[in-house]
Amino acid sequence: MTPVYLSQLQLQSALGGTLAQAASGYIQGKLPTLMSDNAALPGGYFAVDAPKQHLHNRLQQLLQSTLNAAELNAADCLLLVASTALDVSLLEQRLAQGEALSMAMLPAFDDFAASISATFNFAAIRIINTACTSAANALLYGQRMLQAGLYQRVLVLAFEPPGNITRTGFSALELTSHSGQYRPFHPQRDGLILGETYATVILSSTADKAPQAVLLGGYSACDTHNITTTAEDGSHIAAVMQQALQQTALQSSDVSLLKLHGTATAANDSAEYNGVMRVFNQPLPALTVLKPYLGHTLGACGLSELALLFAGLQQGALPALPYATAASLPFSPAPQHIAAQAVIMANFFGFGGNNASLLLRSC
Amino acid sequence: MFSVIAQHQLQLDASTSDKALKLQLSQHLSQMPRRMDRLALLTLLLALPFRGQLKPGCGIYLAADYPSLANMYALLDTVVVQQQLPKPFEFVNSVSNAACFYAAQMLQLDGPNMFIGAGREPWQALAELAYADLHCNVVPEALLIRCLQGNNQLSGEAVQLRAGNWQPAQWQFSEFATAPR
Repeated sequence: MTPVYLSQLQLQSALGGTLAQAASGYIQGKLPTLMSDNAALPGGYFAVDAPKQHLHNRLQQLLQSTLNAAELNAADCLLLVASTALDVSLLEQRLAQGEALSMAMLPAFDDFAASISATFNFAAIRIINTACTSAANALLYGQRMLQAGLYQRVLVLAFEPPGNITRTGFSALELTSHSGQYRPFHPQRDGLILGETYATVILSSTADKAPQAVLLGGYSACDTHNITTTAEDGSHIAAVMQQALQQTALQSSDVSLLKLHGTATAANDSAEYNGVMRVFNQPLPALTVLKPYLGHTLGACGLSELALLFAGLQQGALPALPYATAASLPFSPAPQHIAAQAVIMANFFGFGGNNASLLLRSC
Repeated sequence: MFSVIAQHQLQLDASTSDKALKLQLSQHLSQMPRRMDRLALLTLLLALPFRGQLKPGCGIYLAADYPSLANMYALLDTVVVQQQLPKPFEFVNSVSNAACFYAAQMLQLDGPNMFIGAGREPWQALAELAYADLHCNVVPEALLIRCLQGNNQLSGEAVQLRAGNWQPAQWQFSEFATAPR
């Protein structure tokens, strides 16, 4: 694989309206506040800590500011959109306001692309939905399409608004936390808390605009064990991590930091624990989880978590995990300094058997 | 760029029920996955002729114009109109790569598996993803599937590709269907 540079990372999340705000809170170990905005909906979520905006306006502003910061024209970029819900929340709002539901209201995927094309003339727009690996796959395929010479630049837009279908869906699956504490790999973990997020990044083969990270490569594949859970023995997760190492000609011993997927659901954490134990010798590399700080941002987590991680690394040490000594994996009870240029493995898993593992370096 | 190995097209009456689609599939499968939605059923019918024909590690690249329409309607009705919790399988199926999952399971493939939302011009988008994987030696071959449910349609096409020297000019399915073998 030919490495590609990640630059102009932008993030709106529960830790702040900008990436700098979020990173500042993150390295101090600040956890977001749970939002319960609708008594009819079960549980709460981590809402973006910024004024509310119409979804399309927010996305347009984010895309424009990313292009401006990179001094790029949209026509020079492939746009990869990674989201599980896209703008279905807008349809939910119309129904909640009293419009009658009809088949004709249901939006085609092309409608979303058209809403972006009305403002921006991207070289092409692709909408990727592979559940919670959507953004991880957008990064991987962005890299591969650059390597194949199909495009010069790739802009990845990853987002998840807090839609009612998503919030009730995870509740119906009994995967959401009742305690309101997001604690991956804790013995008393009780599920996930969803997070709202909007994130962008520019991928390019050249380090032309203050890159924040380098994507070395990775691998993504389908585990046909079960549609909602990967093989609990960790075998498929391990195979994907091994393939990611092979694609980048690295060994597990080269990895300095492992960013776990860590949903805090019983099955996922157990499978990931087993997968990690299959791939890495003792002592394990430094470990980190990002979902306690952002919530589970679903299809966007492949970018939102990396944006926060790399911005955090630029600002200082990664925060200690408050419950490190109780966790099933050996997290650090103290802040962790990660060396510049260290190799970082980042795991992302999703419904539909999608497992992905990326290898990156900080700049 | 590509070598076309095989292709398949399906044009069904849009009024065909899910039950009839399941029946059609069950004539070929000894074990039917449960609770598949219409998009998954159509995807499996399109993938069916490629069973046993694909190399291990083959990538699956699926494009659809809509998620499963009936499933999305039911979800909106249950959650927003009736303010009830959705049925778990309806929610899981609303993640559109569920159709990819069932296709991978039926074809016994564990390689890359991508879903893109694209109705009008899906072939260039699908082919670029497959080309990127073939070029980077991530997959030995690729199965591209396109499903259409909008505008009262129930149809689709599928193409098996390997690396080669042929490239479509207009990125239309008809070019893949008539490309030299």
